[in-house]
Amino acid sequence: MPLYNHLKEHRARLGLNQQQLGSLVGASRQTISLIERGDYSPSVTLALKIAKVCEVSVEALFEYKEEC
Amino acid sequence: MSKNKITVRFFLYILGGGFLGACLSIGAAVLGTSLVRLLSDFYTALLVCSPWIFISFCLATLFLTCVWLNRAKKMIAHREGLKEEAEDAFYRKTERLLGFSLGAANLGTIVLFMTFALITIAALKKSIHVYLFFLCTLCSLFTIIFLSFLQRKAIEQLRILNPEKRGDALELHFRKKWLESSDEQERLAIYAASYKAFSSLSILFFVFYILLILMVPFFHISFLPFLCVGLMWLIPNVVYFWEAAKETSRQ
Repeated sequence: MPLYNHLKEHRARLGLNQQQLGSLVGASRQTISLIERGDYSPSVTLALKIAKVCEVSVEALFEYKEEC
Repeated sequence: MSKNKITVRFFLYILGGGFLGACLSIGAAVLGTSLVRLLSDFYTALLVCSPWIFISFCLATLFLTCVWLNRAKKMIAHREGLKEEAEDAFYRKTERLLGFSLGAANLGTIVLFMTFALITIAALKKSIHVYLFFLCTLCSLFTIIFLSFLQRKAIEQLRILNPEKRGDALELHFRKKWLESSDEQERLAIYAASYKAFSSLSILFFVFYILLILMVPFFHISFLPFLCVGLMWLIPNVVYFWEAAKETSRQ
């Protein structure tokens, strides 16, 4: 999947665990874990919610890199 | 793949299926009465052994459900102080154990119903004693009730891991509440699993139907099995097309 993210770093910066971040954005702990591992691409709504909680833009959180 | 290749492959599948069906028919015709006798002997033996098969299934289902549930419970009780790296593995392992426990209870209940039908036939044909039949009836009631409570316990454990989840396993609308409390990724996983189940069922019912047709010359098969398999094949397809049409009109 060519979608990369810096969610783990931003979550660590805020001092939140996956469960806490999940409840803040209305997602499960499992979903946050899958996003961090790059195994799940969130919807636009969820990406915006996560970006809002992390106080960064979506582009700073997620980046799309074309695979060669 | 080109259109011609797909068409050729389609006809090859049909020819292959027809060839397999013809081979099975010829095989059954050659074996004929000996095959019928063999199956009939097996059926008689199955009826006589049905109470013991039933009790073994009850015990095995209860044992597996309890063991997996208890292992998950122990892990959840000792989860305090886990490091974040270990947390992911912990959640994956416990959720898998609880999934096994719920799966064993679910599949076990279906198998219990099937073996109970066998006992009822055996009792009606006087292949087993009537007291044994009543003992098995009591045993089935106890197992089904106990399994329901074990499922509730497993769901409670899952709710400890995922506090946002709603629903009680003994509720009538449990699946609906569970789905409503799931997020987008979990819903996607549920929908993907449901679609896979639907597609495999469609293939399976087609195979069942062909097998039933092949069995007609050798066994006294009435229209009822055809009706049952046909309805089970038809209903999920009708629901699927109905829901798909509703979704399309919404767009």
